[in-house]
Amino acid sequence: MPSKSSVKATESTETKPLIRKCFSPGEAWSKDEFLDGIYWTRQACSLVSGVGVGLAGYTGFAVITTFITLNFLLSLMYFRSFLGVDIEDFGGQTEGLVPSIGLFVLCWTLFYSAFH
Amino acid sequence: MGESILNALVIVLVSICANLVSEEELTDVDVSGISWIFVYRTDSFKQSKVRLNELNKRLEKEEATLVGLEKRKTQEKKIERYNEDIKKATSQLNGSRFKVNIGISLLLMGVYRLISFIFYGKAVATLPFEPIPYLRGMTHRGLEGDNFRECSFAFIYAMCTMAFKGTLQKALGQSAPRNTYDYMKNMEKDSMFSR
Repeated sequence: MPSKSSVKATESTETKPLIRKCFSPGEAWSKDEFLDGIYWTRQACSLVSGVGVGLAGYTGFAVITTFITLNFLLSLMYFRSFLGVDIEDFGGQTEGLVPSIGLFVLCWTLFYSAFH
Repeated sequence: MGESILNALVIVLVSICANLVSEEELTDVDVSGISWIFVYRTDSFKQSKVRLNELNKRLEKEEATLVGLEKRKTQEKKIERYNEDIKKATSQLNGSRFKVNIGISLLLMGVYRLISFIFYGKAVATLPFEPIPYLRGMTHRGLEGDNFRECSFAFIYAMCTMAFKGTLQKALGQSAPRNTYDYMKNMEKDSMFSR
């Protein structure tokens, strides 16, 4: 388990691109970087899952509620467990959640309509 | 069904363009965002943003400093002063965007009216779920019949706005600073009934 780090970015000597940080456990994260990381992670998950669910042809309101729950929990677990970020220090657990729901429903609807 | 999905894609495209024009500057194309022209590039906005960042750094530093009991009151007064300055800077920042936001709202209303004129009465997609009665006013707007799985332009446009508005701002780096005065967090302190 990587050690938890919530050291401010001002203390690090180099700035890694955010996308590279999202795949590197144990990096130092500032609050802004963490909130941006959570935001983009959620958008990426929404896009992929919306397209996947639409292509697969799943239907029902339960899909949306399952997506919201999984998106919220998995993104936080990813940052806490895999990347080792101490998320209590930063707050913003709902960062990007609403846009991700909109993106998911949009992709799901469009791909379902196109292929089914 | 092919035509309806093309209609849906047109709505998505129009929504993205409307959000881009109303918020951002496209540096490679000769189109400028309204907010950038009237707000973000002005010296007063840039100065307000710099001042706000400086005040927040000072506040964080002061809050992180440990002092003895005798200096505690002085520190609290200092923190309160910083909070007041941050509140003023936030109001200034928001004020400069107020008039432009009115213009942007009118523009987006115009875009919505245009889409409504073109796609009213047409089903542009099929919903993969049965919408709850509360949502049917939006998902089934202008459509005839009882097949509530048919989706109208309004729902697609709403989802586009929900999905793209904030994301485009972030992607092009033009969102407002995160460290503005948090009115919700300081509601109790600012209340006229507080001591």
